[in-house]
Amino acid sequence: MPDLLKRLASIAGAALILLPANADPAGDALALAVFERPANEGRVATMKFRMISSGGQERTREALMAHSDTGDMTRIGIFFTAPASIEGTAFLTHDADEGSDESWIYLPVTERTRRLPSSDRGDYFMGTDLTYGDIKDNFRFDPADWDFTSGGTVTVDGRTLERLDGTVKNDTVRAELNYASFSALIDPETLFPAEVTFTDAEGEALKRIEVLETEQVGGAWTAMRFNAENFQTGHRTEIHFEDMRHVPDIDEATFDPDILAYGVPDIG
Amino acid sequence: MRGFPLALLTLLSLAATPLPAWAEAAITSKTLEIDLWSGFDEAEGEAALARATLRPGLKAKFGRSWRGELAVRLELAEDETGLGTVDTFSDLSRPLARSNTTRIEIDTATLTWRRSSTFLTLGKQTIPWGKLDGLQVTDRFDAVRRRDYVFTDVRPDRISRWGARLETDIGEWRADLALALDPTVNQLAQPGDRFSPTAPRQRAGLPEGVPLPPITVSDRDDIIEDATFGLRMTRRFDGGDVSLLALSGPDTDPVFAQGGTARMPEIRLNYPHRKLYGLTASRSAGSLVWRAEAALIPDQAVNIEVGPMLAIDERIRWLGGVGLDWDAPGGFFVNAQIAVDHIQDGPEPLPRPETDSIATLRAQKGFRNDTVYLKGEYIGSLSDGDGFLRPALEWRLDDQFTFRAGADIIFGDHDGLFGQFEDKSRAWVRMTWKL
Repeated sequence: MPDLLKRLASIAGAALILLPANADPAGDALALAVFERPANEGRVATMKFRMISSGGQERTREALMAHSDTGDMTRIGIFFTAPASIEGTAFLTHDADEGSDESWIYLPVTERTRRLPSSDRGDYFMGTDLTYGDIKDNFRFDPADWDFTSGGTVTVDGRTLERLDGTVKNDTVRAELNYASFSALIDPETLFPAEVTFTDAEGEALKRIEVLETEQVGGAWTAMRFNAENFQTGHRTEIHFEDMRHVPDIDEATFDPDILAYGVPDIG
Repeated sequence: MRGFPLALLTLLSLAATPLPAWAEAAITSKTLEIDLWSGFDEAEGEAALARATLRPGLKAKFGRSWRGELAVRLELAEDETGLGTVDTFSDLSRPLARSNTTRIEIDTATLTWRRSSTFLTLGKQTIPWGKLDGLQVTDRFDAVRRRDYVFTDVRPDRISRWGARLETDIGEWRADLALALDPTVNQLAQPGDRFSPTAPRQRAGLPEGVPLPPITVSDRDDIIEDATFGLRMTRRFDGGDVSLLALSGPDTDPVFAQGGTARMPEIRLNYPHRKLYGLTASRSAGSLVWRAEAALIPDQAVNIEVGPMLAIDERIRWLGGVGLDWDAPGGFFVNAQIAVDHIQDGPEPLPRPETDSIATLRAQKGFRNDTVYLKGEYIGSLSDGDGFLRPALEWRLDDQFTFRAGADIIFGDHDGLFGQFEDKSRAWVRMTWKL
């Protein structure tokens, strides 16, 4: 039995014992495996956004993305370099296992770093079709937010994928995430969703995120190209990474909100 | 020591600093912003504002440790709003071209050295302290542009000054040490301009309608005597942060002093030194972010009303304010703030209320993937009962071009902070290209 399946089986066994009677152990096990998907300690890349309106009008964004995962804290910094209208804008998030999640944004026009509300997970990020929550979650589904159901194995274009469905645990999460449910097709090798469709807080079909390309970076699978399409607006966002590097020891200062004003950091 | 020789010396010293990577200089960014802003006064039936601004900017790297930034503004105006005073600038910072209709001014000229979280920035820069938006409680380091009063997009509208800034970590605290060797204090509306104050409270008690004698500005070129320096210490904790700060330097708001002679009287705008001790804090809590600031100025110079002559006293001044950002349902962003500004009672009355209370409320919502914004803003004096409303539409047509339209609807009595401009309401449009 491959290691991954063994791991899934053991997690499923533990879930059978620990979870309430109405839970779906297989769904929980798959979700937990995705949630605990190994991540590298740090990576840096150029992040390129292409945003297309329903009328075909395009906007582009380019940023340096730095991502650090120390086990008890995940930190993401996004430092915009183009176009000129948003150059210098920087977004930073600290997602702690314990304590409050914190986010900041630096806008050059105000010359100040501004703390953001911690419950802004459902707000859209810089005009894209991704929410702040999507960016923080990095294609994971937090068991604190969702109840899971397994939909079994499906085959799509010759790929064998595991279906995972989720519904929000309560109205607070629904309001924070602006989602009511999702349906994902998980690649059992990478534990990345090949596709996720979300419904909005009212349960209407909202958007689809497709992960088109993954790569091993520092021994961990990483999404390199993905699209998000909003069914309600027809707006689409295409994101891909270039020059992705494994940088296990990114300088702490890169993720310091006091330093966002100094622009794109130089990372080894 | 007068400004120019020292500025030259500073620049020569900077140039001589052993920058090991001059040879590795690389331009990292070149930008040009073109901004056209025009306003219409319906009551007067004419253009109230016609201003064009070009802002070329350049950023460069010099190896791994040094970065440079240069940004210049070229302003052209043909309106009654005006481009503001220049004698409130020091020789060092005064606009290079300074006619009533054309200005060229250096906005930023900095060299920054970095090692990990330590930054040393030398050159012409701003020091944006404080937590509240536009309400200056502790945010009093920088010189401020007041030619448009507060009817601007960003408040305060800062003026950069020559100096140095060092930021570094000391244990759990972040230290921010700033020095401005530049006596520039502000940029005011010129007498007779659209937003030249007319209320007695902002003219040392001189009644509205009374013509002012010629106005002069105290000498602004003693870069040592009129230096501003300050220290801010910030500590972050789970979900929030707190700062303690102290600063000393010339006030950025003037007091009126008697000048000239008995036969040829003048009003002299003085900018006496004051110290400020402050505290700021912010904390996120669910859909809210709270911000708070408090400041004590123990030696605030104020005009007092003692007779026909202008008189100045020194009083204790307390300022405090709280604000919150609310990530409201429906995608609305709401920001609400209130601040109180109290000046110690004394034997002679002040031309302003002892306590001013200012409230602000801003709500905005983005549409069409944040390409269209509807914004509404209220700023008012609860003590004077006046204020203004600013409804606005912002349309980001593409990556380079933004169109904005709105109005400044000013209300209140003629002797109030905002009401003095009650007949200066205007509708405006603004077009910005950033290339």
